[in-house]
Amino acid sequence: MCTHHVHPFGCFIVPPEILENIANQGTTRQRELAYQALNASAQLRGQREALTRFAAFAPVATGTKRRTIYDAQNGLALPGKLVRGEKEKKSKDVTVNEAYDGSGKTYDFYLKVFNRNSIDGQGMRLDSTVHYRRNFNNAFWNGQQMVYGDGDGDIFNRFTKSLDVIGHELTHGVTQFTAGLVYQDQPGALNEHMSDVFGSLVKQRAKRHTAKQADWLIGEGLFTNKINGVALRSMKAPGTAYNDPLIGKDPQPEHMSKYVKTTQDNGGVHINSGIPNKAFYNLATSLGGNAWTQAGHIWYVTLTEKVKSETQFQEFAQMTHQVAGNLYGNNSTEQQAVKAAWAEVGIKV
Amino acid sequence: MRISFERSGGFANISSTVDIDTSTLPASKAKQVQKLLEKARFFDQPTKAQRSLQARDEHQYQIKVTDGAQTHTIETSDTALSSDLANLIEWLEKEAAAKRKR
Repeated sequence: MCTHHVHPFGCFIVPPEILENIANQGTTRQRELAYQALNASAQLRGQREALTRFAAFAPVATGTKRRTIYDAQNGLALPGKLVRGEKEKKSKDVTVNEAYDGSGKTYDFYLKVFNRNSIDGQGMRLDSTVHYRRNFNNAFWNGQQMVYGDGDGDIFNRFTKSLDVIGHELTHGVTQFTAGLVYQDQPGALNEHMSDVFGSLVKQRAKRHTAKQADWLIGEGLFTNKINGVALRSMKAPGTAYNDPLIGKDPQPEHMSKYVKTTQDNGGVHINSGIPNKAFYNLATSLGGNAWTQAGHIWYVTLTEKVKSETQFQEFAQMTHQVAGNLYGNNSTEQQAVKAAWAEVGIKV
Repeated sequence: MRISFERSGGFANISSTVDIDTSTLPASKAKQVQKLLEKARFFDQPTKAQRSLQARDEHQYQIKVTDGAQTHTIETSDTALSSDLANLIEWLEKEAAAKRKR
């Protein structure tokens, strides 16, 4: 039985009203700590959305980034120690700055290109933890924040090194708040595909590359130079990104006839994403110009307005075709290019 | 004691596997892993850890240990690890990496 301050969101020792006041009016650090206290309780009850009640977390004016970088100090408690807040000065730690800058570029991409205000469309804060565990060869989205390892220095470098990794992780958040694709089999591969697409587009826009200039590689620079590989994945040529005795060969298929049936990796979500990745590459290079303008636009509208949690490849392809027709006209060059892009990977719309 | 370890998934989706028979290990190493298993309370761990429905790109881990008559298999992932289980996994990943190099 809770004898402290009872509140719709649970029991607090410090009354939530006081925490709210701090969250609304304190210094950046005080607000951060108040937020963490409220968040910790909310998390226990799976009530992240409850926090939007507080003015500090209400939808902010479009264009306002709220980045926070934490250091897990090689442990696994999240989020870890606060090391850089929004507009705070550069850290001496390169991975902190990469997480900060990469989140900013991803935010700017979604805002400038699609008029989307952060992951949830409502100015959601962008939290990243670096130095997670020791020699951790991974980066992941935990449903609320990004988490980055340092790599073992043998096979992998630190995971903040690649801008598309950061864009990839944040896009999992976008998908979570929109289509909600489940992380299994074909819907899961589409989920992975969306993260590769928009992760790549964030990088392409940052580098001012046209579709033809882009390298279409995911995770370039993550491998150390001991590894025979250019990147983790290639959207342009799935299956060719790496081939090394230590880690094996890039297993991605580039055609539906080579779809991989497996129980590993949630049904091969990182593997079969190669098929739609290749289709997107086909479309973007066929249309020319910057890949985010038309191809990215078709994909963004499809993701945010059409795709459902269990959408399969075939249906997704049809949705992109329909959206292209809506945006550019039936039988337009753009719509025909979508059809051809999918045909090349063995999917008929 | 036989230990079978498999890691899959993750951003890179590069798997890590190793099968260990502790009777073939130097005594100090066998002791090491025994201690790690005990500290992680391996045989008390649930066969399927609480799954995070929203986590993306996390590793999946499967560990099977046979000790005499006792066999136990657990499935877990990055967001479900205790630090003791993480230490066990790090040890197993090192063994997997060492085996690959040979």
